[in-house]
Formats: sequence, C-alpha cells, structure tokens
Amino acid sequence: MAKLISFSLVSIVPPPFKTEYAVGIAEDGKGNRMPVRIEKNFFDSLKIGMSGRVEKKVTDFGELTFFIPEIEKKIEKKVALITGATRGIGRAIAIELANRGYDVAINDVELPDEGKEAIKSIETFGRKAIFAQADVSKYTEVEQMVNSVQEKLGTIKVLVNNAGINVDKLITNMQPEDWQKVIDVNLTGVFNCTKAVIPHMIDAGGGKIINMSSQGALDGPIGQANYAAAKGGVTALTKVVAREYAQYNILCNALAPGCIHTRMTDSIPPGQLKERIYQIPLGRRGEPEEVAKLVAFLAEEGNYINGQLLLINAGEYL
Amino acid sequence: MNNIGIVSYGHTKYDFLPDDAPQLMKGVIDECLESVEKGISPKDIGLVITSCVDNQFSNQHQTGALALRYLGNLDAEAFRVEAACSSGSMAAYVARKMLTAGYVDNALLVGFEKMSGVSTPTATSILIRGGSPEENLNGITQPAAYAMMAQIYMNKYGATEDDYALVSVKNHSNAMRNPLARFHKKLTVEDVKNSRIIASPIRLLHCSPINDGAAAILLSNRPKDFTDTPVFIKGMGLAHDTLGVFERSDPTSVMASKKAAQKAYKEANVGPKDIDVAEVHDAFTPVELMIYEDIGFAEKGKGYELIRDGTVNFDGKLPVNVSGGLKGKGHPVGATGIGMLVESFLQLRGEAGDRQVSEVNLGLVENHGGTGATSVVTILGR
Repeated sequence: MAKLISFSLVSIVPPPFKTEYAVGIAEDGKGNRMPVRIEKNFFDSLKIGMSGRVEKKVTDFGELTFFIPEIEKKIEKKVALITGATRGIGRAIAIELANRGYDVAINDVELPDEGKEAIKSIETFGRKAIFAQADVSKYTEVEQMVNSVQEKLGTIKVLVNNAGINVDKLITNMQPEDWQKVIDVNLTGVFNCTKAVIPHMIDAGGGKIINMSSQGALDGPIGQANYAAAKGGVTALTKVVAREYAQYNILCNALAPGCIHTRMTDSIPPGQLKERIYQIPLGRRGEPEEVAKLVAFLAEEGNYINGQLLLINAGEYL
Repeated sequence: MNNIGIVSYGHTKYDFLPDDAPQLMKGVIDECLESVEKGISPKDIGLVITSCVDNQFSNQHQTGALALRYLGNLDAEAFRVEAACSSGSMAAYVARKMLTAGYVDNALLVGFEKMSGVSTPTATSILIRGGSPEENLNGITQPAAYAMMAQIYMNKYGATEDDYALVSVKNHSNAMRNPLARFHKKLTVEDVKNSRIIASPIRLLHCSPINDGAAAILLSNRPKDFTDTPVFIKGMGLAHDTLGVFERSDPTSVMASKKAAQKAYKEANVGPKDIDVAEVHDAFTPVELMIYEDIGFAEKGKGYELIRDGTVNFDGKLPVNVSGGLKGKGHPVGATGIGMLVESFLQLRGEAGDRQVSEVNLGLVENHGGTGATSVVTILGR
C-alpha cells in the first residue's frame, strides 16, 4: 500500500508529451518516495495522504510508475448534443447514441412531431432526452443552449454538428443571401457550437466532436456551390480543431455521407435520383441509421482517429 | 575573504531582445568595463567566468574564450559554469574562492541566456533538465515540481492561493520601479487567480517569464583601486540537496538555501535580523514564502504571514525582491544570479533610483538551481 504525498495536474507539457497529465509523489510502505503518474480521471478525487497502490507500466516514453488511488473510478455520465436532430440523420444519431447509454440534447430551431416522437422513444429505453432550441448560426443562442444542456444533463462529452440546410441553385441564379444563409448554418454553425462546447470538454478532460461534412465537399455537385463550399469548410475546420485540442483529449472528425435517404435526397426529381442511385455500387441510398452507427463508433470507440474525413457512400465516390 | 568586492556592473533589460547570445555578452562586458570609476586595463583581469544554463538556448560553445575576446585579453583564463538557475551565483562563488586563493586579483563574471530563440514547449523541455532523471522521465516539469511543494505547504501550514498570488502582486508592483524589468504591469490577486493553470496549483502569473538577458560584474580583491564605493561580499554559502523534490524529507523547505544561508550568516557574522533588503529566487512565486523561512526571515510554516502583513513589501520592514524578482524583473536563467547581485550592489551604493530602499547596510541574495539542488546565498555590505 502506498500513500500520496503531493500531486499536480500538468497542463503545459514538454515534448515528447502532448496531452496534459497528472503527476505526484508517492511513498510506499517502506517509506521510499517516488515520482508517479496518476490517471487524469482520478484527479478531482486526489487528496494528500490518500492511500493507493503503485504499479509500473511500460509506455512509449519508458517505464513509468503509476499511483492508483484506492477509490472507485467514477462512472462517467455520457451526454451528447446533436444539432439539427429532430429529423433525418440527426434524429437517427440521437436515437443510436441514446441506445448506447447517452443522455441526449436534440437541437433544432423548432420541434416537429418527428422530434417529439424521437424524444419519447428515447425516454422509453431509460435515457434522458431534451429539446435544445437554438439557431446554430447565432452564437449567443448557441452559448445559451450549451449552458442550458450542461445544466440539465451534465457535461457534454459528444458534440455532433449535424445541422444543415440546402438552397440549391446554379451560381448564376444564386443570390448572395442564398449563399450566406447556407454558409451561416452549415459552416458558421459548426464553429459556433464547437467554440461553445470546447471549454466544457477541456474542463471535463476530453470529448469527441463529429462534424457532418458531405460528399458534396469532394465531388463538386452542380447547383450546390454554397452547400459544397460550406461542407468543404467544415472539413478544413475539423482538421484545425483536431490539431488544436488533441492535447486536451478532444478528438474531432468529419463524415462525408453520400446519397442518404433523407428529405434532402427525397427532394431530388425521381429521374435524377434513379440516375444517381445507378452510380452507387450498392445500388441503393444509405439509411440515416447506417450513418448514425458510424457516428456512434467514433463517439465510443474512435480513440485513435482524429482530424479525418470518413466517407460513407457505398463506393459512390472513391 | 571579506576584502573581495564588486567594482562595477553591466546589465541589459530583461526582455525579448534582438541581440543573440554573443552580442548580449559583449554588451554587458563593455558596460561593466566602461563603468569602472577609476578605470581598469583588460590586462589586469586575469579570470573570466561565464554562466549560461543550456547551449540549446544560447547556441554557443566556448563562451569563456569568446568573453576573453570581447574583454580584449586573450592571456586571461576563462571557463563556463553551470548549476541550472543558480549558475550566475555559482560563477561568483568560484571566482571569490579563486580571488581569495590569490590566483588572480580581478575577475569578470558574465551571465547570459538567450531563451526567446526556442518555442515555449522546447524551453520547457530544456528547463526540465534541472530536475532529477526520475522526475524528467515522468514529465515532472519545473512548475510541476514547485506545484507539488506548494500543494504540501498549503496543506501543512494553511497558506492559501491568495498568499501565493500576493507574492506575484508584490513583485510586479516592485518591477514597475525598475527600468531593467521585463514587466511594467500591475497585477491584482484576481488577475493571478484567474490566469491559466500551468501545473496545478501553479498558474501562469505565478511563473517567472522566459526571456533574454545578460548581466556582468567585476570582482576584485583590491576593489578600492577601482572605485571608492565598492560593495563587499561579506559572506557566501554554497549548499546542495537532492535534485528530486520526491527525495526530500521536507518538500516545503529549500534545504540547500537553508544550509547556504547559515554558512553565509556565519561567515559574515550577522543574522537574518541584520539584513535590510533581499533578493530571493521566486522562479515560481509560492516558493518565495518557503525561502523566507529557510533564510531565517520567518519561523517554519509562517512565511506567508510576511506577505499578508506587508513586511516584505517595498515600504515594509524587510523589502524582498524590490527589483521585481524573477517574476517581475525576469529570469534569463544564466544571467539571473549575477543580475541579483547587481541589484544588491545598486541598493548598497544608493543607486537604485525609484526603487532605492532607505538605509541599506546589508543585502542578501538567495539564488537556487532547479527546485533547490544547488543554492548560493550571498551577503553583501559596504
């Protein structure tokens, strides 16, 4: 049995270390003192004089000695905020994450019947679900929403920036306000939500941010200059967030869904839709639930995936 | 040894400076020589000791020989010393021993560090080398090591984060009066407590800054040949402790400074009550409170009372770090110890300008390396 003599959370770390970590001085039963590492999730429970055990572990940086406090590890509460989640892919993500034990905040500008049903069905399997109203293009609304979600559900561990709109027109027909509206929601909205959530994630010791980019960011879809540019911006923003905040254990990735069965693809004229589906090797649209499973994988298992654009399109774009 | 005195000095501002390390050295050597009141020939300086902590900062080897070139006397002898942040005082300690032995009559000490040429993470990884190998392996940075000392001190003696913040506030306030200081910005306790965490509970505004700077002094065993008002080194103690904080029986004490202070007091035949002004090593401001105890200004566990009651303020009974300290003045590591001696020199000669403390007869300088594996305490008087 060992005793903790002192401890510190090192936030500014020297190379080769990248992410903050906790250190301490421990004293074993024979009175020998040693420098130790302490897993960061114990940090809030640390007290001078507390008991624990010391254990040597071989790491990439050499053999380090860890102090493991004699306390139960906190069961982490899982909270997710999904924007644009009353319908389509966002709704499917909310249900998938709730199925995996998350309390979810469903954001949108309004709550349609589909959203109400989603909240009800989530509650039936024992998770909390709340409607978090905000226009993601407006930072003050986003900030208030994030604070309210934190208050009602707890620390947001997963942010899914899904909210998006489209106003499809050829550039010659596209008005500046058509351009701006899509940029505001699809790109600025991602920035706003990310900016508002990151400080909470840092305080909580990390989190996952998953952004909805699009295949449209890659293949130059005719009539979607605003949408494609915004989604390309989301991809670039994802990479910046990934680099800036990995040191706080915040991982950020983007998904580029192809032709998914949502209101957006339902609105494609039938002839055009059939032609597009013919280009998909699997010969069908993807379902929102299939995208939701990839989001859930990133949220739950993707601990070594960062700054990536993951394509989910059945091989339509290679 | 009490005939050995400081004759003149050179001192850059501590800041991000355009000069590289050799230019910094040359600048303070020239200033130090030119300010010798009765003049001195380079040929009369038989020894030069340079002090710089890490080549990765300053990008220059053989700085001793380089200093001889700038001095203009290649017949002198020269070498560099390193004892982490106490390198400057170590240079003075070694020079004084050599002067005492009659090896030379006059010695020039040149401390410098060019820290702004590397990124902050690189600087952190360089400075961590002042800790023990075991601490280095575990990523226990200098602020983290001091943080663990500060954590125990609060837990054991009831000091608070406000007390630690007050040291930063005092030293920044003092730096306002020092044109050579890096910072000329007053702080509040709230500013300090709201600054970002570096290694809990140490925050950004508890930390001395990374910056460039150089300082030089001329030591002589016949100082009155060169000035009518030399400042004599009355006593000097060098002592050591373990590099690792974890290896110490009492991490709330810089034991090397305690032992070094006892040696210095004994040699000078004075005690803590005789000191009029002090410069101490506040690389991370919580440790300043522990130093008060180690050098005998306060009883064990009561150092924080001196910051609470204002004893150590500029207008207090025993002003500490009137230069701004390492926190407010700056901490170009290789220059720091010599810079601290310069401050005491100015105070004792009554030449400290707006920051002059009245009636200074004895000054004390405490300068330690790392978290206190090496410490040099110097007592100076007229």
